[in-house]
Amino acid sequence: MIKSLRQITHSCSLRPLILSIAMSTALNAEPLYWDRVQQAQPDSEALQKSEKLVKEHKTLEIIKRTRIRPFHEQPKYDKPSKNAFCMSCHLPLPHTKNLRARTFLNMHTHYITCETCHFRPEDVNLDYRWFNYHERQLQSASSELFQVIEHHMLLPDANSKTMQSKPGKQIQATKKRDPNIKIAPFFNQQPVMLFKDSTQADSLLQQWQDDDLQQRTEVRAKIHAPLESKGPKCVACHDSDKQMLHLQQLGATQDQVKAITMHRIPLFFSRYKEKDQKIRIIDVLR
Amino acid sequence: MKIFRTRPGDDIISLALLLCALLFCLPSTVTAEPRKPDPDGCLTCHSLPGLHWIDEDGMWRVASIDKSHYFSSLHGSVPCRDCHRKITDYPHKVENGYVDCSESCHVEEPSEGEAYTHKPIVDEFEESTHGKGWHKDFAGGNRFKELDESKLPSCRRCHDNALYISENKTTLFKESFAHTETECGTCHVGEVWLTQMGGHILRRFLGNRMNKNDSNELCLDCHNTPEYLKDIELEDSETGEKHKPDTRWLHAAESYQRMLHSRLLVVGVEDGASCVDCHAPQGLHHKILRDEDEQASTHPDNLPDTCSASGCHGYAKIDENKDFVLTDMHDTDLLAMTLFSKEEFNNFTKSVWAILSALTVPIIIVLAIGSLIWAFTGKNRGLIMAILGGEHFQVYMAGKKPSAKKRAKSTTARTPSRKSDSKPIRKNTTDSAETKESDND
Amino acid sequence: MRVLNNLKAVPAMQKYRYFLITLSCIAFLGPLAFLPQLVGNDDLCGVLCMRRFYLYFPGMSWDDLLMHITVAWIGVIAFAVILITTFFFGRVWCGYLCPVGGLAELGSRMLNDRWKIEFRSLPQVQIRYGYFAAYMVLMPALGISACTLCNFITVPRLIEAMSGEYRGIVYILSTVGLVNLGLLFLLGFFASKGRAYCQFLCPIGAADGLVNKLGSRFRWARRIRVEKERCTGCNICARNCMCGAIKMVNRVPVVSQTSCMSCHECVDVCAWNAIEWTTGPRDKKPKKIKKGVEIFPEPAWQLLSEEEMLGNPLNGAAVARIRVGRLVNGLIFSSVIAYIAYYSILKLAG
Repeated sequence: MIKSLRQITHSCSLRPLILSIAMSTALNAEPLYWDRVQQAQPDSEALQKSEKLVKEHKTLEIIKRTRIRPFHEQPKYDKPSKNAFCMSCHLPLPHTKNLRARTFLNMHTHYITCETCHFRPEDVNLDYRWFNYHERQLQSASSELFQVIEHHMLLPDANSKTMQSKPGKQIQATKKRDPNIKIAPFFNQQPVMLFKDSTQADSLLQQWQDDDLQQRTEVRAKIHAPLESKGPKCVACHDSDKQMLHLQQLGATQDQVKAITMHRIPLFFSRYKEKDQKIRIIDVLR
Repeated sequence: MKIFRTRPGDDIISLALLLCALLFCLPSTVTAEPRKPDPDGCLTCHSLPGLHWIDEDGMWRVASIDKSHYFSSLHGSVPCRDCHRKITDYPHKVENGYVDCSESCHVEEPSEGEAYTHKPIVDEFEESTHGKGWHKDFAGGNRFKELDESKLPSCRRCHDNALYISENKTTLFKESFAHTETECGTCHVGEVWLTQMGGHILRRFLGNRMNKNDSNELCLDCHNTPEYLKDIELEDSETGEKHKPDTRWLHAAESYQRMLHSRLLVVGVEDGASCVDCHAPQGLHHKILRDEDEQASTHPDNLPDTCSASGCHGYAKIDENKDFVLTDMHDTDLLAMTLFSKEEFNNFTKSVWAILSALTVPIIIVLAIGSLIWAFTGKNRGLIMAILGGEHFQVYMAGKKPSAKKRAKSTTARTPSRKSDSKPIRKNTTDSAETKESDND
Repeated sequence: MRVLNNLKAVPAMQKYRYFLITLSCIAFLGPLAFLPQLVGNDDLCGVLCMRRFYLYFPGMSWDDLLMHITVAWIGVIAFAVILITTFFFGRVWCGYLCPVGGLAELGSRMLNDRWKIEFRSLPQVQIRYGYFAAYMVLMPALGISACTLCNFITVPRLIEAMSGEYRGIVYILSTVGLVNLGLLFLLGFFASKGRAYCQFLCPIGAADGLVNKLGSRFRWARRIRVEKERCTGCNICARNCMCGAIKMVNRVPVVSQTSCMSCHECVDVCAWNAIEWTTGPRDKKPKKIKKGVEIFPEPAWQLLSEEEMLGNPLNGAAVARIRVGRLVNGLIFSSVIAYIAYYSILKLAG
């Protein structure tokens, strides 16, 4: 049944619509996140906060190139995918405020969808799988999906006449990684997220576009009610003991699991106790 | 050992890296450890790809640095903290990362053992007409601020951290390097030569400094975009008054590109002249001054020396050529007239060339209209003469004797009308031919 | 129909010549210009410049000359090839291949002859070499860029403009571009036979004309030669000569070898085979003298000069005029040579 519907969807321009119908009829349920949005009863505090944010909000024009080029050559990197529902409003690189972690968090958005970190309802057990946003379907687990294009470091060997290179520590990628494939939370074999052009998402956006402060405040509060502003700590995944994600099940090889769980940077980050704390780099890395 | 490759050029980069890393070590220390390329461990994080964020200005910022590029770059042996001096903590304070290019770094200049610095260039640059812009406190985040504050170029606006051996020279470099051990190595024995000095010398040997086209590219990046330049206020060197740039200045790059100086360079003939060749031929090539400045290489008094420099126009120094050096190298007559402002256009139309073209256009119009009418109504019979000078041709070249009639007319009647005159000529010429022919028979 | 008939009436040799000119226009001028592009150029400027190297700057040393040559060595070689072919065969480049003069000529030939300016009867040698001297010696020293009036760069630019290319349009909108466009029209399309620029202003033509004149001293050089015994004096050759090289003197065509481009048109239109593009006769002595009559087995094919034809001093005015012309030529050349010699000696002395 699902398969046949998918075949239709592939050849049809009304794909998003049909897909959402397929999702809701074939799997016989709405996405969990949508349910929670509907059930949400934001209190006055949340509404106040929401109103403040709506008022303060201003659209930011993203500038990628300036007349002054960056001095250092930057590694080639795929554009982040903007397929998540959150990206209707949020920047393609959503983390901007947390000075310490924003770049690292933005890097994670290539691998992990927003809801993985920010939608963690306590009353249900979610499981996490690879999901292809572009095709709107499950992606089978594979080690390739963990890959990074790593410019491996080459160290010259001074005691030898010939040029020798030592391969980098990281796993090398031979293929380009599809930025649309991310780890996403699933509930009852069904992704919990809303999709950008689904009927539910459209109805929310419609309310937003009416440009009524009252309405916007409510919508914003409802959308964010099931979410948590802070994600889990680094060690939630980057630790061999308490894993939020089952890396092996997601297709990671032994080496990859090791590389992720033993990574230096999360260890470094775990030493920060206060918000604005500064730590001398030399103490940590030497 | 198994060599891993991610990019085809990596082995070359490794070669360059080897040379860079060991480049500045003292020649006496044969067994010295190779310099640690990243002693402070900055690249532990900064070499990770994908460290992007969008800052308050909306600028897409990238904290990732291409590690292998960096190690193969001009600054590949300079540890990060030699430039970003004050960074000790994480998260960094933005000001702590500010770079001042005139500071010295811990790399030593091999012949004298002094700490290396760009200070001489910065000093020279500050004297130039460009020099009042930014020259320190560089950081990725204040690029916008700099652009807002000043249109004058700073170090970073022209220069980035280029590869030690540029990509188009890597093959050549590799080929040349393959020979060094057998050829140069006869005298220059030992590891030190091979690993430390060889590449450095070879790089110079290959001419890896900027060639004329490369340096032009830097100048043209700004000077070839009049939209960017048009709001700049130029300062009069004498009165200090500020004024808007004129068309000649705004479109200097365009007029330059029409002259042989540029055209030769474009097709790869290095005998052409780059911007710097004329505007900053001396010293470290950063002291570019306005033409009016007496110190400027392009000041009329200094032009003979400038033009005759580096084997270009040797004769420019001779007194009789004093006008030659004034040949307009940024000739506005070569610019499209639409580029001129209204006031300028009035001055411009007074030029000899403009008057000349104004004179020729009416004549052409008359001829063209006449030609068109004739094409439909004229009879294509007998001898057709040109409207201007046709008669003279008949007499002077075709050998028609000025007829008795005409001679008589010229004495009796004044100016005969062209119409009545053309008929007998036609007749006469055919007549004369016929008579001659019959004579021959 | 009339056009077709006119086209059919064109002599075969001239059709061939027009065809060659068209081909060379396609090869050298925009938007195709594939020949210059073989050396990475899109027009005849830069490394293909044929003329800048012989500009004289006071006090110029051999090194400077060498520099001028190395900068545009391809153009210098091309220029040498043109001169060498001219020496043996007449000005073949100018008449058959030059896209710049050829384009003007073809344009002019498409317009009717009535509304044109007749430049051919002007004193060519004086104007041409006077301008040539100024171009070579005076303009460089005065700082007038020789490139501004160079037809080898302006005409391709104008063609570029017509094909809609940006650089050409910018050029055509500039004053230098407009002046050159005016020249192309006045000395090209609206000049009788369309070769006025070649005859008066083209420095390559001027140098080429000198070589043509020099080569004509040799019997084996192919030139337009005249057999005056056959000539009827009908002056059709003079009227058709696009260069104004033929002047009827005493009813016989005299071909000026500095102006003639060996375009062969006079040969094509002559009904009496009195003019021919050929080498000189092998034997100048008569083969046989019979009853006081000298018999020559082959036509005389002479290169006549004006003085020779005027012969008798009856036409005194004509002689005087010619001598004035010669005087002007002499003055120009001696002053240029004196100028060059003076500064060269000054350079040697200093």
